[in-house]
Amino acid sequence: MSDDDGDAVEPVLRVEGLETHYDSTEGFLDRLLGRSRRVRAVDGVDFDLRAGETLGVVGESGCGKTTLARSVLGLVEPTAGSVYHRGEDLTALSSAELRDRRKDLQYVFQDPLSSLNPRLTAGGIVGEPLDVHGLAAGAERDERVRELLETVGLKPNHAARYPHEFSGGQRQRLGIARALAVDPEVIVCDEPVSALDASVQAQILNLLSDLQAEFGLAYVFIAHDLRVIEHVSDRVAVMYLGEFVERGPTETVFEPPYHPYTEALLSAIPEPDPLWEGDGIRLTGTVPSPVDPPSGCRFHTRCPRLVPSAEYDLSGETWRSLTDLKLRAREADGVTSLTAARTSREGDGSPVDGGALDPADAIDPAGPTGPTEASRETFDALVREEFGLPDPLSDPDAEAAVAEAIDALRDDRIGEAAELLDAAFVSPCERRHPTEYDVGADHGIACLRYDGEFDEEAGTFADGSEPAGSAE
Amino acid sequence: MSLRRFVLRRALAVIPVLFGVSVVTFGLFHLTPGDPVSQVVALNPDVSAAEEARLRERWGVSGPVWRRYLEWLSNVLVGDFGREIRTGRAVSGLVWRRLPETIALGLFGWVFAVAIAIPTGIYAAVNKGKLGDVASRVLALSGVSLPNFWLGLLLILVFSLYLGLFPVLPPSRLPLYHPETLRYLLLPGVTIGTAAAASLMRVMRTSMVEELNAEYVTAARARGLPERTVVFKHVLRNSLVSVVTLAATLTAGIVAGSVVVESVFNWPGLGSELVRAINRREVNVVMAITVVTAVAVVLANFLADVLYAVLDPRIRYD
Amino acid sequence: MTALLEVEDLTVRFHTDEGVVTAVDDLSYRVEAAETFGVVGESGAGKSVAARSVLGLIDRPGRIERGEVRFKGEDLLSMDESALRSVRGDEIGMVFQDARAALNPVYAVGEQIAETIEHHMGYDPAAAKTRAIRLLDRVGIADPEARYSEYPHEFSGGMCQRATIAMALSCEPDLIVADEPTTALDVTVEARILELLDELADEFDVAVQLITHDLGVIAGTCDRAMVMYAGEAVETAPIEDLYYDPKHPYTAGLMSAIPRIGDGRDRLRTIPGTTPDPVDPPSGCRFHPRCPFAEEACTRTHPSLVDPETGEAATLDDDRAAACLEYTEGLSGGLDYSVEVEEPRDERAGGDPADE
Ligand code: SF4
Ligand code: SF4
Repeated sequence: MSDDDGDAVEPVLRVEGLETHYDSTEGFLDRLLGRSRRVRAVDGVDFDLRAGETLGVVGESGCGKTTLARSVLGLVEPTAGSVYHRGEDLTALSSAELRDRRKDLQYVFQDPLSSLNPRLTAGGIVGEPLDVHGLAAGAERDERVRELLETVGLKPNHAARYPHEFSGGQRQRLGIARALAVDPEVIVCDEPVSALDASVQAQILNLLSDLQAEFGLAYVFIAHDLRVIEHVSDRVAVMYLGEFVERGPTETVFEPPYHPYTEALLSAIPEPDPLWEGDGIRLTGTVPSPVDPPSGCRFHTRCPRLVPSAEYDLSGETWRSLTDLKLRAREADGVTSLTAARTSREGDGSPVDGGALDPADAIDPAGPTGPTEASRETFDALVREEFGLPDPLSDPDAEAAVAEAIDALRDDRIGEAAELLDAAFVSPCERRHPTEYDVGADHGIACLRYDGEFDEEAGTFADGSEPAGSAE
Repeated sequence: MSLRRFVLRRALAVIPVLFGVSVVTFGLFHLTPGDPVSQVVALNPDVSAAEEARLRERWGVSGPVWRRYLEWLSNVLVGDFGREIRTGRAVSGLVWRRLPETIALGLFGWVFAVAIAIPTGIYAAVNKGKLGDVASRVLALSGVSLPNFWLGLLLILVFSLYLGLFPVLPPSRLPLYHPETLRYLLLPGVTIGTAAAASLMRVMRTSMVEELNAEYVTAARARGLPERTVVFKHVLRNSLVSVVTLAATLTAGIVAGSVVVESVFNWPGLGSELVRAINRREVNVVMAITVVTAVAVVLANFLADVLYAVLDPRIRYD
Repeated sequence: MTALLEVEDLTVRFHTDEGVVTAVDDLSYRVEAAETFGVVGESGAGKSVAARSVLGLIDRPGRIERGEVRFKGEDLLSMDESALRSVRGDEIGMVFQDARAALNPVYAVGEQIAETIEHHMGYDPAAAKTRAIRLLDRVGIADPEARYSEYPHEFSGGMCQRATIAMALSCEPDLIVADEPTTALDVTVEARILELLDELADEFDVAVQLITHDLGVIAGTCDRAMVMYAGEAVETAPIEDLYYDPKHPYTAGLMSAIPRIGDGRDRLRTIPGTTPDPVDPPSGCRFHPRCPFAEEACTRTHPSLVDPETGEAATLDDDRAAACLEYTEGLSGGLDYSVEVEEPRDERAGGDPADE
């Protein structure tokens, strides 16, 4: 262990403003016409990794976790930003120098089988880094390979076996042994246990923590499973659409105050306890495309705690519904996508069982001629049903704006309706990109609700005044 | 992306390819040492320098290369391939006369290949590991390994000479649309289609076997759909995707094969004409045939792309 | 009173190059009408094979060697193909782990649902389409008319799963077999799909056999559950008993291996070793090489499923059963583990079995 003394140790890895964008433009015709599609997979990430600690990075699929992991080690080339290791910026190193650095920085893959060369024996796989970096040869090398296999809980005589002869858990042990061979300082683990069974997963997690204690390793641990992240991490970063939205020491991240996204993720965990009642926060949809991320706070398209505009007196829930209507109107190419699919004969959700599904009495969702032919009231009710909007809204101005938009929709002027809604209902969250606000020691949350100007009571920003977040 | 837009994009993408084809063809014949005029000059030591210049002018081989290329290209674009050196007749007339013959032969070969390969491939895949599967695979293997000139000669020997079922040589000028023509097409058509049939069948079988193991097949069965629907509706369309990909490549093979097969059967198509023209050093004819076949292959690939997109919506998408 | 589904002595073998694998060994269980029955186990436990056997979907090299699968009292395994086909998709629906793969990529999603409806219910194409659109709407797919003619690759993973659920429900079945329906999904999507399944099962009055490796999934959705290990059932119990009073050491071990938020444990309890070689499973109790309570007798005697109170052989009607020698011959050391119910994260009650 090469542990320095004191608290103010230089982090083993410091990541600053890391960005990895790549081009997903298809075909030369698009390129010719300048239709480029920049995927902003990682979009401005900072963190420090201290010696011997584990930083957990968690988020849904499509949030950029894996790209981040790979960018940090230079396996993919970052577009901007720096990764400092021992005071040197890895992004500025030549590929030969970078290869040399791999002695200190190692990677463990999610799928051990595809990352292990099937034609090499276990001994060959673990010995390869020793050869590449000229760390050991001959009898010394064999001895070291045996030792490494034992360290990760495999038997020395496993050295002669091929990857396919191992179970999933054993393969992951092999992948870890290979990473350990060069005696690294940092290991980036990309979903190392998500392909494993629960009982085996626990073994690997314990192994990783033993190795950390023994060799003073620092981990960047990427996972989608919050339970695993909470268990292994000293500090946690929650990632959404290429950005960190919350980070801090593990205990503080998993307790209020939460970022709304963290809160929703936590609420979704299936607890192995039949009597447990979750708080039922459910996110709709999936992570939006990183090609053209939403304006302001990137989470605003799904956020259950979206901040209403102070202009109206509306509940958060109604505001969410209004925003959904607005977002959907922008994308819609027909009004049917904005109306509930069935005429509500029995008021709200009549079950679709038996008779209701019988085509004999099935009224075509919009009638044979489309929803715009329905009466003004019916159409209005259909739209409100689809989005769960009360009739009328509690705020008369808001009600007037919505009614006007619904009228436009009924006339099939979707673009106009979208514009009306866009002009009338804008959440501060859509306008301002939240910076990270300090909410406790080393604990930051990038959400406008933690801005000083935010009025907890009213749940909005005091009239007119805009939060001091950075504009985008 | 809609299918229409996809087709349009692909069609646009064909243009640069065709341009490349024209450059390569022209370059092959005009940048290699020894243009037709110098050959004529070499054969006739009496040709004077002035006459040579006139000849060059006449055959379009004077001036800088790029200008000659542009001239040639603009002629080709309006269907003018120049003249035959010996007879002075327009090459285009010859090409238009021979082209339908070759197309007929190629199409026949195709129809034969597909008609044999698809059903056999399906049969073999569904009965994987059984006798019929093994037998058809052995046949396919021999089909792939038979050189087609040999197969052609064999067919002539057996069916025309011994059994007397088919005439050996086509009558000199029977119009293509004449029903009798089919009889003459049969042997060369089978010859040219056999190799394609064999490769198609193998790909059909492999992709079908693979698709039959896909989860959506289990899911379709779990929905209680009859096996017939599962195989012919769900699996077939997916398997055809890889067949179409191969078919495009095979078209080039059929075109190349037509040279040999037409010669063996004395079929009056572009292939046999090509052989003749090479022997007689008719550069313009050779160039014309090269361009026409290259265009045919490019078009076949384009058609395959379109078919591919019709079969598989994922292709149109990105 | 016969249950909706009764599986008895089901044995499925796979004849592979490495040898004969008994994927499911003498398995018996029942699913009552309208209940949600969980089947939990790790990979190689045989839960998926068991699920597919219910629909007769075992292909070469697999073979159902023995047993009965009685659905509404009739043995599906002895039915002819065409009779079986009229049950599949009509009376029993299936939901798969990889929903996108379970949809044919070259046909529109809606068409595939309508196809099933036309086939089983004899609807004309227009009526089938209407019904399919309503189903898409019911499973929470926005803009179902437009989505009807979109292809699987245009759907997100969660939407694909919703569509296959719509497909499974399309002919109003009495049973849905769901094979790891949420394993491939993000937690946020998983939670919504599980809620949807729960809701629809209620609404359509359909029984669900839910297969999963995740004890968390079972806890939130099932009425009863069965734990499988190496092709056998090792425990069956009503859901609360299973979590608060697990009778089999494997169940207890599995539960304590899950990291839980706020439990403050530094190390996870593990079950040592790996799942046994399916070609040559251990003698006696198959769990004995990994069981912390194993004794000499466990290596010799194969424990059968018994009522843990009386030690009598369990029948299909028993709600509680476990397969451990403790309940028949008795072990000299006994099973020494206990379940602690903690309240870690915001006042939440939690069961944390711990084998001290
Ligand atoms: S800034 Fe607004 S949208 Fe973003 S997380 Fe906070 S409340 Fe939600
Ligand atoms: S029978 Fe023995 S080995 Fe098996 S579970 Fe019981 S105690 Fe463990």
